[in-house]
Amino acid sequence: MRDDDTELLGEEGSNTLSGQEGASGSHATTSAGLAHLGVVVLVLGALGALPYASSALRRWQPWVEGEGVPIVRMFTREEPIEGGLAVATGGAASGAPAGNVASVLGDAVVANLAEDDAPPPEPAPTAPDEAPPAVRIDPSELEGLVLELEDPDGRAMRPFYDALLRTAQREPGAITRVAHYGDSSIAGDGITVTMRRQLQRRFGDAGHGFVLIARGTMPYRHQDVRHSADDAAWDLDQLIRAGRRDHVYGYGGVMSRATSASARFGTDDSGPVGGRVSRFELWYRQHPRGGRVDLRVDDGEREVVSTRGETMDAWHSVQVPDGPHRLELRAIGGGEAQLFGMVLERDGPGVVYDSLGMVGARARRMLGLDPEHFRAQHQHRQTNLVVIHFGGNDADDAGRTGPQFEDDFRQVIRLVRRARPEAACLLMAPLDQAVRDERGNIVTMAQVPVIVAAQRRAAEAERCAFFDTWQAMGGDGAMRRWFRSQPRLAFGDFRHATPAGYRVVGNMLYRAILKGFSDYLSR
Amino acid sequence: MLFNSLDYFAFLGLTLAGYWALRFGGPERDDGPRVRATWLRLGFGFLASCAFYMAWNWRYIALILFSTALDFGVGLALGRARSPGARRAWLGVSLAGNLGLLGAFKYFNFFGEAARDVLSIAGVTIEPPVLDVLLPVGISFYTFQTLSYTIDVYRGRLRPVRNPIEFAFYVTFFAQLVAGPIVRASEMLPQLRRAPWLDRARVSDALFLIAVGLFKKIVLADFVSVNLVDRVFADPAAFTAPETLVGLYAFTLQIYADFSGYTDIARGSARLFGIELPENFDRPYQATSVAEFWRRWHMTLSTWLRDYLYFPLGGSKGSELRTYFNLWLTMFLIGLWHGASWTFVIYGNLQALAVLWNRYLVRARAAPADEDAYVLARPWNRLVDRLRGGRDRDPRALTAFKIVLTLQFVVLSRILFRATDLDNAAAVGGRLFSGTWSLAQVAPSLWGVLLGGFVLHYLPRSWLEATRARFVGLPAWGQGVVLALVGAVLAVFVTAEAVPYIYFQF
Repeated sequence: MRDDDTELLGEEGSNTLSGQEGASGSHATTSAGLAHLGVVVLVLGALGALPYASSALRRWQPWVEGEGVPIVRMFTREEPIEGGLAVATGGAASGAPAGNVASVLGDAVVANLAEDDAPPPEPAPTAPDEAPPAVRIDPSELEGLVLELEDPDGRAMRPFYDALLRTAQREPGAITRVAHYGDSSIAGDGITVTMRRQLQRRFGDAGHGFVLIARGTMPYRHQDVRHSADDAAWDLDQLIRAGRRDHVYGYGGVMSRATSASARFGTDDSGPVGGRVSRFELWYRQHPRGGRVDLRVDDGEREVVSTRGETMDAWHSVQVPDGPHRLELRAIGGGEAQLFGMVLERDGPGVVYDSLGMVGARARRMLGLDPEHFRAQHQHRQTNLVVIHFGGNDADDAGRTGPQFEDDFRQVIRLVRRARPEAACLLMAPLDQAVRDERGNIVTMAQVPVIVAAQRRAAEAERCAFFDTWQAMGGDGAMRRWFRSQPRLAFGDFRHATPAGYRVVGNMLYRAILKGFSDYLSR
Repeated sequence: MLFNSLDYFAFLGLTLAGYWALRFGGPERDDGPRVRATWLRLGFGFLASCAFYMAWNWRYIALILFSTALDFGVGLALGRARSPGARRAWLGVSLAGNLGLLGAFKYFNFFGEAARDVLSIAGVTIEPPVLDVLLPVGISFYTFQTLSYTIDVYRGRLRPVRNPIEFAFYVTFFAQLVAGPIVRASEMLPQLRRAPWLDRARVSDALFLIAVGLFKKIVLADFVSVNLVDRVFADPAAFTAPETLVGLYAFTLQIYADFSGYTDIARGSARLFGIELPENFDRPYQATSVAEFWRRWHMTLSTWLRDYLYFPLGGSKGSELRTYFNLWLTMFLIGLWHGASWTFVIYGNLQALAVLWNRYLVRARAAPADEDAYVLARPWNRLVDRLRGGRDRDPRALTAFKIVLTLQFVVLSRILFRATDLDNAAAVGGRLFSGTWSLAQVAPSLWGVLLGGFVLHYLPRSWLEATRARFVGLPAWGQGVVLALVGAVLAVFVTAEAVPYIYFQF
């Protein structure tokens, strides 16, 4: 071997064993070695037994009753471990079956795991003299239905289904708008992107909907839309942090303020929806010291909007030919621009699904909004359905009782009802929230069933529909099973789902809503 | 049965008890005939290893038994065969059997997909057949092990094993069965033929290795995995550029701690049976070049391919072009060994390119300064010359610079290693250029574990050796107390469900 072989790959025969394999020991030394090992094991055993003296030391007990007999349990568990796919799936044999979701979570979850990338049809509106098309839901569309909405008298969702029927009948301009409020599970647009894609594929794409101006340090993002901002230049007033004396935070719960900053919005052709827009609408707060905002579509002429004037909510619309477009927004001084967000819409008919997630939000934070301001926002948005989806962060509030949670949710429902009495109301239970117990086992947090029960009572009392996300996931211990499944449906914080997990929840919700619509049509 | 579980240590204890009881059941003279005791001891070990493997998935025990029987039989046949043709034929049977097994279970579907993808460029549409199989745990490891046996017997470097139990023990030994190190027959079989022995120092060393391995796996690997790495790769768009970069560093720490931690436990466990397994890592992130990195990372794989592929191809004895080809093929196969997907095809080629470039630089330094063939190396060599300031050896600053440069390549290229597919790799890589600057999603505890892990990696070797020596010097009860304390700390970090080792899938 030449020297450069050594340089590159080492010498032949290197990395072979060294030292001890060539040696040998006598019977006596081996006895001494085993005796040494025996003492170590005895000491370990004795110290390992100490935690059994107190239940407070349960965490350190090597084994407790109910955990199965060590070794034996490895042969009796339901699912074999199929390898180290938990960390790096890249090494798995290509084309292998898609994990163990069916065996761990059941076929219903598999049915909701699928992703359909087909773009939605582009149905033309019906002509005035044309009879509206018949609307029916084919039973095959409901395959994979796990749980129905709880809407005993069918009235809570009726305003939404009325609007959806008009959209389905392709009435000109019939846009059905949904506002989905929630916490970090929504801020990443995981559940809501699935709902948006499914509803738009079925009923038409009327645009992406509402997007915040800037995200600051929040893990906030939307899919099927291009959105970026120089986040450091924007100051954010967030509803979850309160702080504003006027309690004005906008439709999405975040006001972005700046005298000099920019943000960009545009259509995105990489997904099945969101590739077209015919109207940008800037949502802002007009005030006496308001600054100027420069809007520019597709490198075209700049349009300057002044946000100065009497204090009130205001909107500015920019019409564009239906198609792919982008808009650049710049706060250019003259005062502080206080902006709520940007809406991207089309003329319809179709559905718009606004994803309104607030990272870290609890339900009762919504009560920090000025009711009149919230009403003005929703009246302008003409929402047909408001989804209230909190509870994940509330699960940390160990000191709160069921009646207190119920009161929180009832007040939030009333706030929404006052803001938009014409809209339907849907309360959604949180995803299963889990922690490790003192044994390291992943267990559902104690407050989760309390919150879900409180939500069910609140929904019933306020005549709001209810979707039991927790039960749809599998109820108690669901997060543990979702974490164990392959592909993994929950992250290791046991509070959030993976994108695949959110897709499952989104599809479950979509099918529940579609089933409700099907029942509505058959009445 | 994961090494970081109570089940494993219960299993280890029971197996050790049976193994050593049977050792003492034989004659006391180590150099005398011990046929009965060896049969019983190794037979017991073989059955225990089969049970260990079946705890993963009982369905695939047939595969490892097939591989064992095939190579045992081929070994005997090679021992009897006289003509070179017959010997080549028997070697061919072994190669076809083992590589066929690997191909069918690991690469068949990918090759079909690859053919479909390539042909689709030419406008030809095919629908390749798909095998509905799972990747058997450890198949890439034990097929390479048994191949080393038949190749060495073929080369006349090893006599055929006549005791099937001895051979079966070698192939299935549970400590290294599912994720290596890849132990060659020439390394393990001589150990099995001697009476096993233990002494106090060997036991203490083994316990220290196991404790270090558990620390790496539980505190370093699993913690950064569930708290950042999984999320960055599952949902790249939710992370900013610096968060993604931290996630990539975290994965680099994770995979080292995961695999080397597993190897430590494997070596420690084997040592308690009186068996030495080869080292698999040599502080790989201290490498000053990618070529050196592969001499320090998963050493039993890279040296296996060196000895059984690179050298037979001619190594560097042929033309310069041929040497580059040999190097490329070896490095490419190292990449592909890790997984059957386009990401690993590209990963292997990236590593190969880096090693070829490294060779080019090394050759350029030895060549006359004005030789045109090495014109591309001149800027680098000028920089090195300036930093060396006339000295023959690299100053510390230059060494550190090379280490940092090599580490960056390792970190970035591992996007392909961890990504689920090319789209995922592009999404993660793309985030590095997203122009977003927050680090809000990296928790302080994660910073602590990350920094601690890398600092440990770069500590002087003598410090670790001093720690080991202090532990070995403790009396048995003292070692028990230390291990109990380590266990208590690990219990705080341990994840609810032990996270499987990354390399089990290869």
